[in-house]
Amino acid sequence: MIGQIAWLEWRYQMKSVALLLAFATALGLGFLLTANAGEFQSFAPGGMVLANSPHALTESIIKFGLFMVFVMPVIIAGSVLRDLESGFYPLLYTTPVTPQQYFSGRFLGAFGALAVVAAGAPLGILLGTFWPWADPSLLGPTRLHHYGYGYWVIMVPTLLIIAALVFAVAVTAGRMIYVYLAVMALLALSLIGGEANLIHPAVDPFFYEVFERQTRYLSAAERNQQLVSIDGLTLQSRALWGTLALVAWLLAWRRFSFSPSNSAGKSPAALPIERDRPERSGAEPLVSSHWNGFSSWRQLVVLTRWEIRQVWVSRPFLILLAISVVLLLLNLVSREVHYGVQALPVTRLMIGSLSSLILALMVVLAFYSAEIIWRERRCGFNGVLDALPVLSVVVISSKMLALVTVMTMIVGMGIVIAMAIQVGSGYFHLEPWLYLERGLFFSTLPYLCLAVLTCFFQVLASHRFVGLLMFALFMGALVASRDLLGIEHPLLSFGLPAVPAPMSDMNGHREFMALGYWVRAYWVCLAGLFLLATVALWQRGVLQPIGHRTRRFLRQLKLWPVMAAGLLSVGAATSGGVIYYNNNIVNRYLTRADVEQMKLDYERDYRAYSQLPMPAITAVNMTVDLYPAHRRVAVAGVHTLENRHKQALQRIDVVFPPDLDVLSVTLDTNASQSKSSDLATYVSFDLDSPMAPGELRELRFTAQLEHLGFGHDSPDTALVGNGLFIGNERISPHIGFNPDLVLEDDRTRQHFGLEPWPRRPLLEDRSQHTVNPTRGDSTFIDFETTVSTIAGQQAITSGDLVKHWQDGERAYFHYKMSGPIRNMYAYASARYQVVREQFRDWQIQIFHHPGHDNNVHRMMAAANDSLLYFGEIFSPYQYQTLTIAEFPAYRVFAQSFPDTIFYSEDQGFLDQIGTEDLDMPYYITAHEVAHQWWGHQLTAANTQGDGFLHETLAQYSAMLVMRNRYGRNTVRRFLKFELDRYLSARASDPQGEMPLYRVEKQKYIHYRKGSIVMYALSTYLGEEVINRSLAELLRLRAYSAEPYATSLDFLKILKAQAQPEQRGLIEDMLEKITLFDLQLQRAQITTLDDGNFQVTAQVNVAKFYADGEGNEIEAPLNMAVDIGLFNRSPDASDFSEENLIALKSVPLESGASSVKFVVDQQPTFAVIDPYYKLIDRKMGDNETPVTAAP
Amino acid sequence: MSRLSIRDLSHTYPDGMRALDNVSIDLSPGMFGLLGPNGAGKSSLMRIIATLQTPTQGQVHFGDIDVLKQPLLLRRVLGYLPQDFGVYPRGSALEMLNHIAILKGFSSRRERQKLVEHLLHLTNLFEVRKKRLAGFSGGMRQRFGIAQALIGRPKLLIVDEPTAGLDPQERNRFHNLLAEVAQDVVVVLSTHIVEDVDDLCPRMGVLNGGKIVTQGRPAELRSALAGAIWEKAIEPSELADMESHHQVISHHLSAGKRVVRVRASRKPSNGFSPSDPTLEDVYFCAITQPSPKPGAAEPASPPSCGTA
Repeated sequence: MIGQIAWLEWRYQMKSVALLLAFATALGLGFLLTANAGEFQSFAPGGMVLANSPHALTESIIKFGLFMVFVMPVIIAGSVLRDLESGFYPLLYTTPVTPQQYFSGRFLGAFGALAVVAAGAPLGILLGTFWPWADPSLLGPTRLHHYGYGYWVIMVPTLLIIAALVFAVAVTAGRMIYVYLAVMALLALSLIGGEANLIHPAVDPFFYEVFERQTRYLSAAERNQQLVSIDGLTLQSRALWGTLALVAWLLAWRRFSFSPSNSAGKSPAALPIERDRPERSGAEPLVSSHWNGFSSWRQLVVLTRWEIRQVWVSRPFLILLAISVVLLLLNLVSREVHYGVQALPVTRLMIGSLSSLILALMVVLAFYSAEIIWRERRCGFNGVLDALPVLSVVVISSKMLALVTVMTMIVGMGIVIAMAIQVGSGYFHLEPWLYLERGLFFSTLPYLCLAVLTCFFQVLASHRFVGLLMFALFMGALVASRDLLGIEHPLLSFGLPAVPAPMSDMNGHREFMALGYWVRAYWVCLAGLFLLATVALWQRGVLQPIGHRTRRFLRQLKLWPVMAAGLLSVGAATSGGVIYYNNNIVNRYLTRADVEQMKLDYERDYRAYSQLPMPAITAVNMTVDLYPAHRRVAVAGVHTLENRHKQALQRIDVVFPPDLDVLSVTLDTNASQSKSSDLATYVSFDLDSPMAPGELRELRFTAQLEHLGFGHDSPDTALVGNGLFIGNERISPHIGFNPDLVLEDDRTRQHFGLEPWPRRPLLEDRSQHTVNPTRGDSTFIDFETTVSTIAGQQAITSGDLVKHWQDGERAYFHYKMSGPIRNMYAYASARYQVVREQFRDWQIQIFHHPGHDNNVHRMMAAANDSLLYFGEIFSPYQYQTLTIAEFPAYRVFAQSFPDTIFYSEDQGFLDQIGTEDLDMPYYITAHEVAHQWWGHQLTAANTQGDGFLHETLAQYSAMLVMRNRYGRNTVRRFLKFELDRYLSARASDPQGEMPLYRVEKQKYIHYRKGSIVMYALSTYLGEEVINRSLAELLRLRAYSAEPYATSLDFLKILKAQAQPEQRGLIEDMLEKITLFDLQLQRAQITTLDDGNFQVTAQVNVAKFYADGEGNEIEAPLNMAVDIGLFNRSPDASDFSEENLIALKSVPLESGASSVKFVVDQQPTFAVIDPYYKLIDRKMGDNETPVTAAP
Repeated sequence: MSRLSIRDLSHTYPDGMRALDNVSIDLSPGMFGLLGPNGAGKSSLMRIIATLQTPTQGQVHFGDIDVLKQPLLLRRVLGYLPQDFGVYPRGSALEMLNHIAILKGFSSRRERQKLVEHLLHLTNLFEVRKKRLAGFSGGMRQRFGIAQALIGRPKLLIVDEPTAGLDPQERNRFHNLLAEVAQDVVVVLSTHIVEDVDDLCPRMGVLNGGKIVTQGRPAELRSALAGAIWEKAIEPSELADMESHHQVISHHLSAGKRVVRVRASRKPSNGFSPSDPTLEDVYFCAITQPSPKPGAAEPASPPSCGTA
């Protein structure tokens, strides 16, 4: 019987259009994933992982499982709710089928149909690999069992679990809305599961987090070869969800009966007591209706209140609110900036967290728009309501107002919660206006406009699901048009995509809002037109086809809608006109494709000249006038050029940065110049008298950079009213072809048939050993500048402030550098508060935004500690001052220029450092100060490994300073983060991993791996050996451009300083990609007669060398490894140095060994490599509790 | 006092179904019973009068109000009880009546309260006024329907098949209520129960195939058939033969025999006895008329059945 019911259900579902559509979608998307693998960047595995690799396949299949929940309400819940909603159930429920047979049969049939839909995805992926246009370089061999494994082992169990839950909810609650909410709750759980630190990954019912956790550290090679294995975590997750689903399903199964009052969740009609007694029709009161100009308004108020109540008191809505609050709280509470450090709850960040309410807003606007539009028709009350003396416009306006109010109340609630959290954490600068403007008005309005549109679609479609489908299609088109069709103009947007208007405490929050406001005005006018159209097409009484309604409207056209439409059109045209004027006339309207094309043209036209010998810049004198309020910078520069070649030069090319408006450019010699500009102004001087070797000439130019009005793209956050911060690469010219302007993205280059742009020249390429890695046109320069800004602001750049004066409304600052610097400087201007401290040989000054003083003392301490220590171990600090200046949070980084460090407000000024947190402002400051040595004293050559010399050495130096202040346990916690970040980034490297000494702009190597490796070397070789080598490197290469330093120089010095037997270790660490697998299997303790304890630890160790893709070969391990005994786990939050009982560096060889300790305290934990010196992907098996020996 | 005047009303649905075909009716205050079989176009006509549907052709006037052009003005004096209606899942009778009263222009809270209370008493719902409407029985829901239709003394009351699904007691009560309010109001009552009309309506009309095939006072319509109705008890097997030879307007079972009623100007044959015409005869006579072919010219001759 069950089989027959299931079969019938399956057949019924297989014939439905919805199922066909869902299958086609799954098939099509799967197909595109492999056929167009290169373009699906968000889905594509990234790096060297192939599009049809087991890893990518599994990941795609899991993500498809997530999408599948959107069809579950229709397929799974629909299989039972269909009968209830259509009223067909009395006929079915009276057949001899038992409720339980019906229940099981329907579920099996529906699940069968779902399984067919789900099979579309792997099938599509498989088909895509055979398509002629599929990029073969992204595909590996086809292995059918991978598809089968992905489908049967990963997808089907997940779907079965979710479907059982959905089915149980559908049967128990009896209404579709609860099914949607259940689905939303499951999705929310999946999002929560993403907060890996807070919650166990098994809470994600879709298995994604478990998969992510399991495969996090797999290399590209492993991802290409290995199927995801079934491990403990997998089983836990499956067991948890399987049990839950089974219990829910069984409960629903047991409770299910054929009395719909029970199964449909509707309480039985509570029949009121009815007494039959004579009618008492007293005299009718003498009352009469009143009609006047306010009647409609009164009706509007009453109806709106009524509609809001209908939504607000419904249980589904309360559940929706509850889910949103959970998501919001999670978002509000976790404001991790970096390395587990939380930011202060400033209003700007809290507003950002409100975005977690978007899910609720989308549900309201998609689901409740349909609900609210069709409410009367659904419950059959429309016959009464439509015949009441209420204007249609009043009815519709009340419905929309109700939607708007409900959405506003949701966000309002979010704001109240956010403020409560601020107050609760002792932060009282609440900025309610900012909440209202940005949190409520700015971010909610687009959704309100969309809500009007969905109502319009509902009325237009005359059918709930058709309306929803139209809305879904519209949203899809809106979101995808930018990426797929290249449509970027704001005039073609509606509600979405969001207009970027970043916020900052320093610069206030209003700088980039002009486009946002105009676009909103435009959207509101359009929404008004949609509202009018909705009113026009609104049908009272019997639903008529759309053509009929249109004709009726035209026939009965009244004056006021025409006038309103006219006004709204004028509004839309005006705001649209302003947007067009600013985008297309004031500014040049360029799409991303246009910019790409310009870069390609630039490369095609000028790359040939990159080999021409050009003079070098030896001195720079800049007069820079900053007009922050007008977003304008005017520059007048004199660059001294020197011919350092052996031959005379006939031609000099000068390339200005893009966007810079070049007013004049001259050489102090007769020369004819040809100028062309598209991407950038490219000036070519043909010299009348050739420039002789060694000769100096002066290049003079005036130019300005100005932002008028607004454009459509992300705004230029460098030129702002308070906190202007701009680097020289945007305002001064490059001599000769500037390689920084070409298109570097490999995929785009491949698309245009260009060879990849090399990340870095080879380490052995000697021609590059004399080239500066950031500026090929200069080595070290003399630098002098006069910078002016508006009175009240301080202008900051590198150099000693030799003179400061004020002239009217302008403040002038004359800076001069005492010695040569790299051609790298930047200007900042803001109303700063300054903290200055004079130390022994230097002054440290920190310019910060008033109020951002929380961590200034940490930065000050870090700067001084660093200058002192680096001066001691490396070489003296080269300047008398060190300046730290804050810039707005639009960009988040800190950058070290000669004697000056620019520091984003979000990179440390707002960190809330608790007693257990890593002091990141301290660390980052130390890192940036270290760049005064690694980068400014010593500059790397333009080859592989430059990142090692600049960044790794800065990491190392900063770690020493941190260790000096906070101890090695703090370094251990820092390294734990670094290890995770290094290991999890390896597989997504597009061109393959490099050993540290050949690092090619790979941040996960030169920062993350660099920290671990250098710390390990400093303990294995001795800190003095490393520091001595670094000091030696400085002696050899500081301020040297002929040649610049390379990592080979360092290796050579280090190997000479180290013991001969340590060479292998140095090579493992720096010249190879080395991975370890360390295990502490067992630690047993016995009490000795003398009261001491003997601990025997069983360890197992191995070492592997990996290639760029991550293919490993085992190599014999023969080295000392730390083994520590503790009476508290080193990962415990209250772990301290006292908890260490013994730490031994034990010589080990590959394989198992046994290590004995005799200690006088009783340890509880034994850990191999407790201080994260060796890169080990399985840290979980490094620690074990100490147990009593049998 | 306003009259309802319907002129040349036709309505064709998008699928080509002709629901109304040149209907013209003039109604003065009092109750008008609109009879007709299922699908005759009654509800379409009622909805058009109640401003819920736009006809493809024709005019509807109520007093000075052009119903099709000024629906809002009509709605202010309209009471409408749809054929079947649902209620919101939440809200009590009191709340809903109050809500509708506001929408019907009763803005003073005190007055509205009195009015609603009166209506609740009138419809015998006062006891249950705070109960959820969604839990009401069919009869109670129908009484709520009439209560909402009566809010504000409508001048035009449209009641579409109000007694369907009511038990005899409920129906009785409902009729009394209607009769009470129908003193100086135009009431259009659509039904397919002939008895209802007989009991209540001073005037009636029969709608069939979208046309008014008969209208007038029930008594007059009956008397027009006087002497033309004959009755005979036959064996059930004779029915077909009877139908082929006579104009059988109805037949029913009585004590195991089939009694046929036949229309004829003189005694059709032996065994027939004359019978007093009932309103049912009028009705069946009207709807068994062969309907004119679609698209045929306006019937020049008055309907053969009854006097218009």
